[in-house]
Amino acid sequence: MLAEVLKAPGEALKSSVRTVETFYYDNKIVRDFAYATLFWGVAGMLIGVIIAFQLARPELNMGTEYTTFGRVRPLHTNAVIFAFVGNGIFMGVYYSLQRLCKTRMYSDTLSKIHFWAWQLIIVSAVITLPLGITTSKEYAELEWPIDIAITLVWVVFGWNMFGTIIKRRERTCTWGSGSTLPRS
Amino acid sequence: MYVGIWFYIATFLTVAVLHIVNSYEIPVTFMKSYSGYAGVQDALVQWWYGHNAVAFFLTTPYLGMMYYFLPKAAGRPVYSYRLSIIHFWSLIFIYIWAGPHHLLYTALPDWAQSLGVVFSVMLIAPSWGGMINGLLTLRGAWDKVRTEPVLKFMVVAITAYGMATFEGPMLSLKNVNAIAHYTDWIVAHVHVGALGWNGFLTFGILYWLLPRIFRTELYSKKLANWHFWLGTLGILFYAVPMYWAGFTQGLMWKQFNNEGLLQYSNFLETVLQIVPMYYLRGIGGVLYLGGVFLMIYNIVKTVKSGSLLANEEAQAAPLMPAAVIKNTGEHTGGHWHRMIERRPVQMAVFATVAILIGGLVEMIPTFLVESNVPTIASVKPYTALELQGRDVYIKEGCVNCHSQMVRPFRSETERYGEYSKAGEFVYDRPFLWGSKRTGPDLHRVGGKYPHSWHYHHMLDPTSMSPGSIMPAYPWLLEKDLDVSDTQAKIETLTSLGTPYAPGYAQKANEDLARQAKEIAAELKKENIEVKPEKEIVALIAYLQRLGTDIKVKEEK
Repeated sequence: MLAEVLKAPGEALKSSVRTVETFYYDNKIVRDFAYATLFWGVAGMLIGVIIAFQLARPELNMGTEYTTFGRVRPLHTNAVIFAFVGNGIFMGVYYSLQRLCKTRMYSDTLSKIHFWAWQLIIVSAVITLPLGITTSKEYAELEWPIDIAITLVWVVFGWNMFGTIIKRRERTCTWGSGSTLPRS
Repeated sequence: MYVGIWFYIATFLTVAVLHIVNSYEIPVTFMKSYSGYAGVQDALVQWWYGHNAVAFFLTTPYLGMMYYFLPKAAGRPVYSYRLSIIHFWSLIFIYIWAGPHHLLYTALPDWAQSLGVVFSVMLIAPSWGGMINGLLTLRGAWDKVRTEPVLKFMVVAITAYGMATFEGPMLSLKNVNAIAHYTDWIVAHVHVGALGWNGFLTFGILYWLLPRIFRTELYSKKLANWHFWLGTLGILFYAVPMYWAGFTQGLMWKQFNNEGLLQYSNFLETVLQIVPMYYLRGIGGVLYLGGVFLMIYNIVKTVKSGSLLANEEAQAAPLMPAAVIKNTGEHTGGHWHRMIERRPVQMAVFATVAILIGGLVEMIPTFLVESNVPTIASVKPYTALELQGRDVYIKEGCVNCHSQMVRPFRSETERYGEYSKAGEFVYDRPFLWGSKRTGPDLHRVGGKYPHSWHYHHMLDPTSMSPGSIMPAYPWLLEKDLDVSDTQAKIETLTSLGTPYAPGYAQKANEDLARQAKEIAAELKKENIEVKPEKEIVALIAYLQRLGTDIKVKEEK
């Protein structure tokens, strides 16, 4: 077909290339990431409020090692950065990428693995940080097994994202198409 | 590809590079590792990572989302395609250099600090490019901002982005940084970004997107407006007291009296001064969180009124092969940048090159040129007990409130002692310079107080410093130090190049027990009975060792 197209582009365009395909956007994964954003947002900010008052009233450290500022502050930063904002990023990317590329996400399975594995990493942070398991490097406190898990999930995210971009229906994904997106 | 996707691609690639390089750590046990980098180098890698986590986790994906959701919500095209090209490439290229501004006046080599400052100052241009492209997208749609909560959130988010990215370069100036570093000013700065930019953009997107995928209308615009105002008030109540606190404390630390002595020689005085600000900041947080609860109620009601359209039908023509496009002339003759952005692989390669340059230029000399970290012969590795004590310090998160980096200012050398040298940290894995002084710097705390002072202070900080806001650590007196991994720790550090005497790993626990007994015996002289096996003994050993490897002239 390509040969025909190259010989007589105008004709080919009319006959085959302009055929419109029907497909479906995956909104379920967007909803799941949205709910996770809300859940971890509240958790992370609530912890933030508590440790904020710990600085004014030290007795709010509650006298246990697991609730002391030094161990909980990394939990706050990790929760709001990687759990709240992280899930927010994936929500926004999964919604917009499908629409910009005029295609469903590359793989529903990868989407699901991405979602659940990311939540699992956050849960592992919630467990290990109060236990004092930390590298102490800011925003990189999680210990090496979790670091490896993060790398793997990130690869899943990238695989799914690039897969989606490769199978896009809009070459420019999508400057100029759709009324509200820009034209140069 | 649309500009949003460029930012997504840059996000994916850069976060991968940052995470892998900064997480280079050697496992000791299942949940313990030592950084593959030491001291100055660890600090450089960490803040290359830390700063660019802000850039590529909190900024670029959010700019990508701004470019999609803002035009959609406003019903207006993005202001300028050319501006988006310029600010995208300059942002990702320049950002990566800026990490050293977290280490100004530290033992990081001066040239690296200067590079960090220069690129941080330049960063204002691409950052404001993004802000301008966002705000000007609203041209002709400002009337909608009055009535549409989604747009209100987005406008304040972009404005907060603009303020934070103006403040960032300003804080990177060495003379401003000299006051602001280690204070709550920095805490205020990051929260303007986090609460304003990330929080508000997320809220705007949630309010816009959830009713759409649930095929319904937002339950209540009025509640969303309440959320907006509570959140805005929350940010103000958070940021203003923290700026006040940071500026106040930063200046108090530097204040000398007529006799040339520190006006506030007791660190605690400067803390007690700002405790009221901590209350106000807490109230700010409560207001902001209250807004979030309103949002959750609003969203639960919205979701209940609709039903999820799990698979949304859409239609589009399949992709034309690049050859066809070239042949038909479609999409050609446009901007030259189309050539790059049409090809995802090419785009990814160019973006990778752009984000690698800065990091490489700063790291390679710091690792390879020895004069960057002049060694000091008297600096020796930690003993087994000190090392275990250091790991207790790490476990308890002391670094969150205490720095170990005396800057070369008269106000700091008067308060703490000799300024910190690069060569003093060559066995520090990880480095523990810290980034905030809620309590005083500890790099020269070794030998400053008797063992008993530390013992009482950890049991109840207010017994030694009335009014102290430091939490008590009574469990350190009760818990036995875990010495099962001592040998593995010494072996790991030896493999990384720490020059322990041959065979030290095998007899490390012996040496540890000996030193612990000594400390327990000295404590006994001060009428404190403590078993040498307790964690507190190791922590005291570490604290007393800190900063004592170089002998500076005797105090007057």
